[in-house]
Amino acid sequence: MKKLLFALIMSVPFFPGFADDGKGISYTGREYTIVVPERSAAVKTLIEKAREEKGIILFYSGSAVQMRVPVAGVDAIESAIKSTGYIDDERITRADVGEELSILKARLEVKNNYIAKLYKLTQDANLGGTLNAEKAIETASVERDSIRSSIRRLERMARYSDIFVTVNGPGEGTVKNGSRFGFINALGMDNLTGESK
Amino acid sequence: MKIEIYAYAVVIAAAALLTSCGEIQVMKTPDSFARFDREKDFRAASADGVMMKTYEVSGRDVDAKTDEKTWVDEMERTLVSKGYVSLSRKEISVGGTRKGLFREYTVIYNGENYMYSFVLVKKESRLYIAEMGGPEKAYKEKKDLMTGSLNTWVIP
Repeated sequence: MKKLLFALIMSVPFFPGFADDGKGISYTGREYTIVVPERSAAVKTLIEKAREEKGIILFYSGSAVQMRVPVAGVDAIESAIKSTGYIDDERITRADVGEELSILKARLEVKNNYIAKLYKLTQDANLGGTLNAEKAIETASVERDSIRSSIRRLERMARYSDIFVTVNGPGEGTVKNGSRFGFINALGMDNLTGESK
Repeated sequence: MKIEIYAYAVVIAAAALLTSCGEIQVMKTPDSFARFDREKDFRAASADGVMMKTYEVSGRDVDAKTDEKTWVDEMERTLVSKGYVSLSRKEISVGGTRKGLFREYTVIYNGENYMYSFVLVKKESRLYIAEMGGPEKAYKEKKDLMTGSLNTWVIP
């Protein structure tokens, strides 16, 4: 019985590499640095938009917002960012999670078959063999749960996009010191309404 | 002591003369706007918070060779760095016979959506600038009145 169990455990391949149902799936992360006239108003607008698009706010402060939004809502968030302020810097990172997902799914299938065989073995074995088989089932079940959890994590990553927005106030963008022509620096609503300092 | 006070007064008056360059701006005040009569620059406001201003800029920085587009690009670059988001760019009729470069922006001001625009006309080594802005809804309602009024702007 022990020999049979050992042979069964050793026969489990880790990376069969035949499953291809996860190909082309990728995770996208986006980082923006924007310049706005009023930081607090911009942060509020971005948070509201993220919630409107069924996203969640991972972090926010007076000068940054980090959100996780469904892929379907990314375009709407991008539009909101563009209409909230001037985009000073933009970075997009993509990670292909399809291959990793395929491998994990294949491993899960193999693990399921292995557990099924172990269960079958317990039906025919004596008491000692059954105990050994149950221990092996327990170990395999823990591994299977871990694989399932990894699959869920990757699938969630592919369904959502993380967006980090750094919100800068006036004068903190690329043009740090304004124009060298004084009258140009006086352009804008502050001067027009007589509230410039 | 009195001499000191007079000296300060002279310096302040001289500074005021130096900073207010250009001619008195003449144009028809748009309907539903009130002009601030004491200003040399043309400044007008509507009851719902839309503001309009025209003025002339000249001096050693403004030379006859630099074209209008260069000035507008510099103005836009500075506004954009303050968080203004560009909406439209076009030419509009100014003073009846001239063309002015018009740029329009949206901006969040005091927590509300505002719209802001400027028009630039260059004549030799002088720049004529019009600025318009206000809460989004009110601005949109009065935009045509303001741009129509710019057609009566007297550019010497």
